[in-house]
Amino acid sequence: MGRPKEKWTAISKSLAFRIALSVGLILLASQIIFIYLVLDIQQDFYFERMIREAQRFSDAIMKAMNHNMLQDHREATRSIIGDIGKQQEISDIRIYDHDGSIKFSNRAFEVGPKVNKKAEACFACHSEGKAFSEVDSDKRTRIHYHGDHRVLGMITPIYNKDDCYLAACHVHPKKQKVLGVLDMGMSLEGFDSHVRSLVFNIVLLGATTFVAVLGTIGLYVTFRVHRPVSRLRDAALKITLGDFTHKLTVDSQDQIGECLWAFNIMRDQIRRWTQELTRSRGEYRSLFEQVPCFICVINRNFEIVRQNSYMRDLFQGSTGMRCYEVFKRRPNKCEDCHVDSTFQEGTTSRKEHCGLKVSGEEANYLSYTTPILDDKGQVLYAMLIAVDTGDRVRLRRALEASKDFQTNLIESSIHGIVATDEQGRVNIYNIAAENLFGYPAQEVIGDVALAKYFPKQFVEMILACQLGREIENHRLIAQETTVISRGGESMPVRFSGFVLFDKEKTAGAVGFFQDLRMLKKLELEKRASDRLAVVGQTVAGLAHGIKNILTGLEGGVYVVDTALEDKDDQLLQRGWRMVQNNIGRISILVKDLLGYSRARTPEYEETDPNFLAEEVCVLFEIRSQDKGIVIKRDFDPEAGKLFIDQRGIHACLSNLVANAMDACEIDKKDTTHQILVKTGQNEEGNLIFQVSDNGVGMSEQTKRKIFTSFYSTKGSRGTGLGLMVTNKIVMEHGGEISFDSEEGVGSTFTIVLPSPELREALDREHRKSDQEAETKKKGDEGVVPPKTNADLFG
Amino acid sequence: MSKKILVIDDEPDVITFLGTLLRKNGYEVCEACDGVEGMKKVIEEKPDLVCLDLIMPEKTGIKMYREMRKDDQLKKVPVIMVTGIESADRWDFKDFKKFIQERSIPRPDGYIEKPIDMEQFLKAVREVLGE
Repeated sequence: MGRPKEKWTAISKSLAFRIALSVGLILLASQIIFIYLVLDIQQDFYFERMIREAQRFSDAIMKAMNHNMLQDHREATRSIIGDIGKQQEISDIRIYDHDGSIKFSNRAFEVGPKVNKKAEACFACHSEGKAFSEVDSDKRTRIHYHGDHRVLGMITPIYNKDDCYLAACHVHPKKQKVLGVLDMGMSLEGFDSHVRSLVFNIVLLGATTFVAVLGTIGLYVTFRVHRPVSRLRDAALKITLGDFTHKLTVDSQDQIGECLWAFNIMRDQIRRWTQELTRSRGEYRSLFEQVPCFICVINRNFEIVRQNSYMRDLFQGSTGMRCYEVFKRRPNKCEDCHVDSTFQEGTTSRKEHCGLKVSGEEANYLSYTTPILDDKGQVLYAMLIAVDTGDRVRLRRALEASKDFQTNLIESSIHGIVATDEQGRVNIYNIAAENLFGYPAQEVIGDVALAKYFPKQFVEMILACQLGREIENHRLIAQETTVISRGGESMPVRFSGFVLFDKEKTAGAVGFFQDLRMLKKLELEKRASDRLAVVGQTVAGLAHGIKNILTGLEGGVYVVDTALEDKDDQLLQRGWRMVQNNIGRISILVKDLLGYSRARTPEYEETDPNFLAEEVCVLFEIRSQDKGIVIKRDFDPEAGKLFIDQRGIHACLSNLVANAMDACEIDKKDTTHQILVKTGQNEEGNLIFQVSDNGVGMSEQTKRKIFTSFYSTKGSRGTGLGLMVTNKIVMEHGGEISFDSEEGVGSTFTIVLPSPELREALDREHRKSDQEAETKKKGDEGVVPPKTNADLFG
Repeated sequence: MSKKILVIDDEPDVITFLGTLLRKNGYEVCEACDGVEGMKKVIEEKPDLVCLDLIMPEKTGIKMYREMRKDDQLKKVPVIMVTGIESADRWDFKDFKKFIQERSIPRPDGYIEKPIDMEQFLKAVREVLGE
């Protein structure tokens, strides 16, 4: 019972049923009204027709009977009445006389009696108690039943016309207006049958139409509306459950189809918005909870109504507590509370704070408060977002400490430090630099005349970098140069300079100046001291050399004496050679010793280095040819004239070539011995002299000792001072001598003489230092050894 | 038969001088100019005495002396060291003696310091040769 009821309930609630029913009922009602109106009209029409027909027929009957009535032919009249009464359509026909008696009737039994004026046939004329002389035609008719069918009664008054009262019978007087009434009843059976048929058809049609419409609408609505709407409903339900996968099939182009299409669009849009909303919520949740800053929402009572996990961890305040209790551990509101100002002014506020963490540790943070408004624009809550600036504060402090340390470091440095910014203005100038250059710091800071401080090469580097030009080198390392102080003094320094970059962009430059004045002075003193030490060392070394020479001399004298005694010429020659050699050795020894011990000032003169080297080669060529040694030249034609000490460098080259010859002489290799003399310039513009040989080469022991005084590999032929003297002369030039050797292969000695500018500055220092040394020596010993003949002889 | 003395020194003048002196005094002299040649000559010539210079190229007198003393045959050959001063090592005569002692090298049979005193040299030679 339940299921049909439920089914009926479902059906009764369905749109199709309701629409169909509504439309059907409306249609039915319309049809009923229509039918009623149509029938009514039809009936009226037919009835009017019937009345007119009845009237015409009555009139026709009257006319037909007129003659007979005038002639008083009653039988004829009766016959006519009878014949007429036999007609199917005529139910009854009678004629009443003026008194209401039925004179003639198609039913014979009716003839005779008198009818009441109130009878329905008489009512039309006698309705108000008196007869009308004229009766409206619409009142002459009446409907009554005869048996099972209706009859239309037509009363036709028989008026007393002229013919009638003038008729031969003289029955009716002139003053009698109405002689009688023809009462004809026309059967309405056909009419009613017709009407019934009509009604039946119409009703049938209506019912059919109703059903058809109901069915059509029902079906249409069911298929075209109900089902799509059901699908729509189901899809909408799925959407409410979050299922956006169900897409409706648009299978029509009508409004329902458009609705489905719109629904699909709406579904997509809702899905997108839902996803966006979900994502936003997720992001919000993540943002709120996981962002590394603390967020809380505070109400007007300064109570925390919501906070994120970061804040909970840091301050461990709970919702409901006041913000000042949580952040500041205060019992009351802060005086400059910016949460309060947000509530008051409704604007965002910012402030830096120092609070206390749950650990009791100081917490530095930067907070922003933002108003949260209600619908009416009133500030409901304040959202506080704060970033822990503890790291920044610590960093700032560390930076300040670092800066202070750096400043102390710079100022404490014993080396002068001068640095520029990216625009080439001096921004660092420490005390050591001030002492070096003599310019006060306030004059230097901001100065752009960098040539006053930096070497020219470095200034060019800085300018090139500032102009964005590509250069090979951005630094100078430990370059010995000179700077000019404020007082015009030229000072030797060791300079290191670096162009600074920040992400490939020039950020500035820095130069470090090591004041070499003291070092140079100490070097000169050391050299002087070394020379003195060597002189002291000479006591031991000289003794050795002299002992050998004495042995040679004494031995030579003995051999000569023995030879003279034995008259041995050969022995005599050997002995005499011994004497000569050793006398020569003494001479060389004394010269070398004097040459080494004397602090000789180089005498610079413009010299062609190739010419000088050629002189030395020519000097040794004859001797070398005797010994089968080839002297080769490799002179750089680009090595232009330079200011060098000709005598000194000549002596150095001579020493090197002589050593090379000796090395070739004692070498036992079966090869053509060669000595290569080379000149050139290196990248820095320094002059190079090089002497190479393929002689005996040097052992490791020899390499360690060759510059040591009195170390000679040449036995009695060497004083041991040659390379020391060479080294000394080269150093006096400010240059350096180096060698490369492999035992059994050969050796190469290289002299590098510095650029003229540096040499000039060093030369000045040398002269100055020598003068000081001389003055000191004079003070110590009282005797200054003469340097030159001019010194000796005045 | 005269005694054979091998003189080893890198200084030709010293060889000439000592050679002449020894020949004048009736000795047979053979010569070498460095430690390598010296070792060859010692083995070949079988001298009665070796006069050995201390500092020589190729092989020093010290090295040669050690080798001699390790050899069963050569260790019997008497050696007189003829010493100078090596300024690079800053030795003097005392340092050299100490050097020999510390390294347990057998003492040479005689020391002669340059410049050579002829009488002292001849005296040392005669003493070593047992004359």
